Amino acid sequence: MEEHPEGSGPGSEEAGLLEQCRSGDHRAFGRLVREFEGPVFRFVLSRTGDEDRAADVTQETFIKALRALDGFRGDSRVLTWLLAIARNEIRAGYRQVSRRREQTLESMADPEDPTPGPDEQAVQKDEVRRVSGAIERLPDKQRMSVSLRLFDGLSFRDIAKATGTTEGSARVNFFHGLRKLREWLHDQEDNDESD
Amino acid sequence: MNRTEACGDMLALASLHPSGALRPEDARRVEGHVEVCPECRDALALMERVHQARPAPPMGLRDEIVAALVAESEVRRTPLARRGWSALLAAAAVLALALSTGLLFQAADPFTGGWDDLASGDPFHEPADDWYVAGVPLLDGVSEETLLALMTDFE
Repeated sequence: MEEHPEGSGPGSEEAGLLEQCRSGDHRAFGRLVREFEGPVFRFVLSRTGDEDRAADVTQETFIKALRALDGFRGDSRVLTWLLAIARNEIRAGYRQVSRRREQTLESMADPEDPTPGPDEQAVQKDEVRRVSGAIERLPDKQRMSVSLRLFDGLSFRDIAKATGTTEGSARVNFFHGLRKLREWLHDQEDNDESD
Repeated sequence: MNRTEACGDMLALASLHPSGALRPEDARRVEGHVEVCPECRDALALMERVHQARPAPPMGLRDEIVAALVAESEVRRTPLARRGWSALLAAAAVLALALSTGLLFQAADPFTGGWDDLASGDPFHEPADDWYVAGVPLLDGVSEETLLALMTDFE
């Protein structure tokens, strides 16, 4: 069964966006960043576990991408290309005086409802803390497969490219990780009920 | 229907549902399947739950990145000739400043009195950058006596 609709290269919309970026269109930069900032940030965060570093590497990834734009041959999707740059940045041990952001993991969560009431916010925070904690416990490759798949909807092919593994391994890692999450979250709920 | 095979394939497809990455027709297939399959319904609920906990980039990062891209783009778009002239003008300004302060002449003969001042313990003496290679002072041409004084100071 074909599990993802994208082809191997950028779609016409992505290609048009890149062309506008090449010509220095500032609004195109805004659209590019709005589209891909989240997935790149989450990818780096899932690999490093460090929010400040993830923010720095995300910014550097976009700058490097702009510099390399003329050399981008269009034989992969834009996100796959950006993740490859991000991966190299992480490997290069990118260091910069980090911005110290006063943010916790809970406050960074991306809520569906931007204006919940105080009680609902507390429940949401508790839920995010619980699920994030379980995700962080996963082994690296399972954590990356789960987050790239469920957070940002990457195909197993693209996950394999981003994490340096095979498509089959990316799929297996995803399902193993998902099974562990289910067990751990059920266990936590059982413990909460018995307390 | 071979339930195991159908559910396995359906779960792979369903895992793209929370992020909205599915084609509409595939999304409808997943939704139709979970209507009749409690196990896949539970699995999809878990996947939705994980998706809801996805971290968002820090506030303000987007603006920072766009500003950095605009700045980078401006540098790239500045004609090479203009950048060349800017560099030349900057170099000329540095040269004029160096000549006016006598720095250039001191740098051409860096050890005239310099090490003696240093060895004498003058705490305010700051030798020119030309005296250093990779942050280490050049010692060529320094007399034995001065070196000995320096070593004594270090000890």
